[in-house]
Amino acid sequence: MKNSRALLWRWLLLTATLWSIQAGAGQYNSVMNIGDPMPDFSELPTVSGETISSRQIKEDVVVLVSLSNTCPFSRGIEKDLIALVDEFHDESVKVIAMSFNINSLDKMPKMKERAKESGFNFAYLRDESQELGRALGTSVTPEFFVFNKDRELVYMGLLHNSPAMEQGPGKSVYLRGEPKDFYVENAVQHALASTEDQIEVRETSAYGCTVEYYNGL
Amino acid sequence: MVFDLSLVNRAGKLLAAAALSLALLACDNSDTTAIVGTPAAAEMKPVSFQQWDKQLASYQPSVVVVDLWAMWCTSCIKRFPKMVDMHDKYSPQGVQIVALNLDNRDDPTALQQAQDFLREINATFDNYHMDENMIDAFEHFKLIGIPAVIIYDGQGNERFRLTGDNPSKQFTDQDIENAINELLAEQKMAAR
Repeated sequence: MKNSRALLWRWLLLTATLWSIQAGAGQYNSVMNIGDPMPDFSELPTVSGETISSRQIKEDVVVLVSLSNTCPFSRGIEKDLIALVDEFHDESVKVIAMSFNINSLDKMPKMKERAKESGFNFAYLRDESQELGRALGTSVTPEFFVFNKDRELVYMGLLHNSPAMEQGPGKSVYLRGEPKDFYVENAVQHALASTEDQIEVRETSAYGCTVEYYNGL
Repeated sequence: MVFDLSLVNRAGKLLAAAALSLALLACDNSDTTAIVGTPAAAEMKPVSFQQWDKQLASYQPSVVVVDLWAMWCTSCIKRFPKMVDMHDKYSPQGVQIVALNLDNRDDPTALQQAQDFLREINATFDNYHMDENMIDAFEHFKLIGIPAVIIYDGQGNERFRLTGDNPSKQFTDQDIENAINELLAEQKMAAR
């Protein structure tokens, strides 16, 4: 009898866990959904030599973005990302790029090179454990996550409606013509103004290069 | 160029190198693929969405494994030689291994590199290139990223969709083999 009860509790616990995981998924993201809290992260190394922790972030709005040194979709939007950071330079916005890939070309020494070559004006962290990547459900690079003052997710997906691809050094091609719907910009503006309910698009499919996780592909 | 050759699966390169060595030993003919007695790597045929649907339907009643890949996708390149192995293993059992390339149709350099790569690893199964806007293709196939493998049963129904979309459940080569074996077992049962 005791064994049956223990089994029943285990089954209920497993069902509840699976349900909660399923309930948390977005339309395209398998883990995060709009309104979910920003995952905590602690003392992750950045290309500047400093570490960064989620609880140290003082800015009102946080933009997290997965990048990869080797992904042409990621390299293709670098200029637009730098421009976005410049645009909100005087606002209370923190932009943090994240590297998760197991590829050696995506690890810290190469990250530092890339940040210098491209003139990154934002923090670029390495998540070697991939815990943050998994917690965000990041499946591709680049993939953006915008969190508001309460550290709730208000947007995730593409930077804008026209993913760009690097074709040759320093040359990017917009795959859907000049961008016209600036999803991240719109979400940040509304998060700063505390008008998140007016964000035009909450989630898009972040087309790009699949992130290689340990024990994965 | 973003593609890093060092990421190509070493086994695949060894396979190609071994095939080349055998060829050179066998004969001094410059057409190496003909020398070793294996079919030449299939030329990538450009297909529209409509042509692709027709092509896919033409494979019935075979189980069809479609590998969606591109030269810019390092993990696609790394695992592609496994598809060559699977072709060798399962084509005698009537399974169609097919590769559908999603490189930018407006980037002739990438397309040429893709064709060269197929030759290098001796990919003799059917190879296609999606002749549509790349993002339209992602939407059409409901993809977020590649590599992705879609497996169809003998009636043309999509039965398995293997992707890297969930960081905790990214597909493995074993997942592909399990899916193929399940569908082959179904076919055997139905034939009884």
